Amino acid sequence: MALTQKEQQRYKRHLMLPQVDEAGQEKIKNSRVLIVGAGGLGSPVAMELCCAGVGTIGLVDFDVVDVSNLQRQLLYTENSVGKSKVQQAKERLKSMNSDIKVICIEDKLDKSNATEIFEKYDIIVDATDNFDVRYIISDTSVKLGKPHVYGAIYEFYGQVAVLGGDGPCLRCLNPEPPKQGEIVEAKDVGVFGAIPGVIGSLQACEVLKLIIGAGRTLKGRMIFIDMLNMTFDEVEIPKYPKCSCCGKGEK
Amino acid sequence: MMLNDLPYPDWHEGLTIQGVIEHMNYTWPKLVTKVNGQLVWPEDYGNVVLQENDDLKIHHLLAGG
Ligand SMILES: [Zn+2]
Repeated sequence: MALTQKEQQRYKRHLMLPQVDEAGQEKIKNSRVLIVGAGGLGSPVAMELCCAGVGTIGLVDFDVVDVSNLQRQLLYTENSVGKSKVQQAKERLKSMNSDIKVICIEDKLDKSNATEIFEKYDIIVDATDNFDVRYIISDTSVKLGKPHVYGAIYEFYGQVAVLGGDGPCLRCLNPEPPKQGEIVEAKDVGVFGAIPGVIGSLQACEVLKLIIGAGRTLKGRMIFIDMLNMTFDEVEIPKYPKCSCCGKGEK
Repeated sequence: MMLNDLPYPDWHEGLTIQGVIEHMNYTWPKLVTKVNGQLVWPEDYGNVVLQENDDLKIHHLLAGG
């Protein structure tokens, strides 16, 4: 679908970039992005993609807004407390850009519903807060050949990678999720306020680059940011030949 | 040998990545490690012998959101 005159005005600063241009903005408009998790990471991802004009944004979250979310979850206001995250998010996103479609999936993502939900989207953004769901996202993204934009945070630290599609997956980095009780739950860990904003914005940047095909994405790479000391590191992730998901399995 | 950009004082002949993880008491079960810029898969932590001038990075694989 071509851009309307109103859209040409709205996305003028995008159209000025040769890497985006009208063709790229049309791709953004016609794209469908699923965000799993509407919390600290999901907030900036959704807001950036909404402003950028992603035509359809799906949001998966079963939770309600807690007052302790307001310190970092940018989508919500004091009036959101106690209300459904995805419904509040939709309201906020529609007020920012009424042209886009926001689909609320008020459910817990699990093995039984992941394929059906993911099938309708081009790119999957991982903005969840636990390993179990992250491995489900990874496995399903590989199965359906869709890019999996990984973002994760802890205290002052964050990391971003583009997995899935035909590239390496989360199991290439580490074959299995941790066992129950091996890791403290996200709700019991501190997070510095601005950290999810940084990491979520990087995820949104990668999503948009994947849509328009610009530059070098983080496909097959993970970056690590220590925001306490403001240092950066990255690693190339080769496909693990024995990967039980995207490789040939254990021999 | 360097560990996360700092000199590692306890390097010795035959030291493996697993040896460093145990010596440093890293209890986080999901790590991402690289030696001289190359990713090392978890199954190789016990096999990769570190040389005196190696550059080892150990990151925690995070899941919070
Ligand atoms: Zn894999």
